[in-house]
Amino acid sequence: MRRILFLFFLSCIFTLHSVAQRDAYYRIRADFSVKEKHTDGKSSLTMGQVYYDKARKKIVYNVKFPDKEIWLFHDTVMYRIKDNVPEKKAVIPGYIDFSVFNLALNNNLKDYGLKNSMYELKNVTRDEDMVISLWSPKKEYAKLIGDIKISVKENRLYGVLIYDAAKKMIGKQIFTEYIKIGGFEFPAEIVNFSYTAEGQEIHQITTYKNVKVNNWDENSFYNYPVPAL
Amino acid sequence: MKLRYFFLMMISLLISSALMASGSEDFSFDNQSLEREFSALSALEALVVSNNYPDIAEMEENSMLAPDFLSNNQPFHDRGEDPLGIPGFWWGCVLGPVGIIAAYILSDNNKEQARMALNGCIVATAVEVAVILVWYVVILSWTWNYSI
Repeated sequence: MRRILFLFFLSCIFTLHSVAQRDAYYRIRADFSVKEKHTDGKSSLTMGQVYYDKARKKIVYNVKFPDKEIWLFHDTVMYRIKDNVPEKKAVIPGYIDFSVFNLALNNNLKDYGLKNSMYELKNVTRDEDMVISLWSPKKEYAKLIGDIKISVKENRLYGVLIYDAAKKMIGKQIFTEYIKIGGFEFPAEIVNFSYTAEGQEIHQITTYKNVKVNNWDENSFYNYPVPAL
Repeated sequence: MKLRYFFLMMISLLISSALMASGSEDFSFDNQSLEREFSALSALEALVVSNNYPDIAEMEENSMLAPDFLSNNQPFHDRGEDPLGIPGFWWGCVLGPVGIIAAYILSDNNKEQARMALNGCIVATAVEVAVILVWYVVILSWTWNYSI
């Protein structure tokens, strides 16, 4: 009986600890830069600061280069606010939930948030220093979307391969560097390769610097008002 | 018999390790070539940070930009999302001119999506013309042979 009580007590402590870990980090800000190159020669550089509070579920980009403007992502809408004039665009559902900010703050980055999604784990293999898992869409989505392969290296998400329903690779993300702030880890550099239907390749490097968690200095950005349109 | 099992086991081990190796190779990329590809943008990034984030107009005024930068630069969200999640190319390819209009309207007047739809429309028309030509050639050669 004593042993059962002890085990129950121990499991309570572990549960409380994991809940506390998950809720310990609730907001993040960073200086970001996105460098992009297309195979047709086009390139771009976008820089500024980004803010995310997981309770508000708004990603706010304070873009400073090439032009000063605000990009606010809320629900399935992106608002682009330039010279106080807002513009509205639709974004894919799940943009915020699967963002690197939401995944990192909820401690779901390692499995790319796929554990509680429309995907199910099919296979796990090990190769040298990588653990590679194959995730396939559940039956009802199999005709629309393809598999996702995830590799974990040194207990951190390293790479994500995205396939379409015809098993053709359409995207590759590599998390090359991480920043550690206490017990919190956040990607410092993400390299992204996209392969379009027209045979073009888009290469993108996203970097995050000066990352701060649970920061209250720039509070107004975390809950940026949604424009009335 | 035992030797046969051992042999089979060795082969299956070799195959499985080869399969796993190809899995990790998929995650590799050429870091040096990527650095070379992005060297100009990285230099510009450092310039923007060291000048305390001037916008493009300020940099242009102060002649801080390469002359061809403006024509090639397109902020990464300007490309817009695919209309209803379907790339513009397929809108044009499947629906033709109607698809070009649909891609333009559904992507909130995004010219890039309309251009992709136009490409799709051109490709579909070219394929259609090629199929019709082949069809006529086949029919003509068949009737020619039959009449002789």
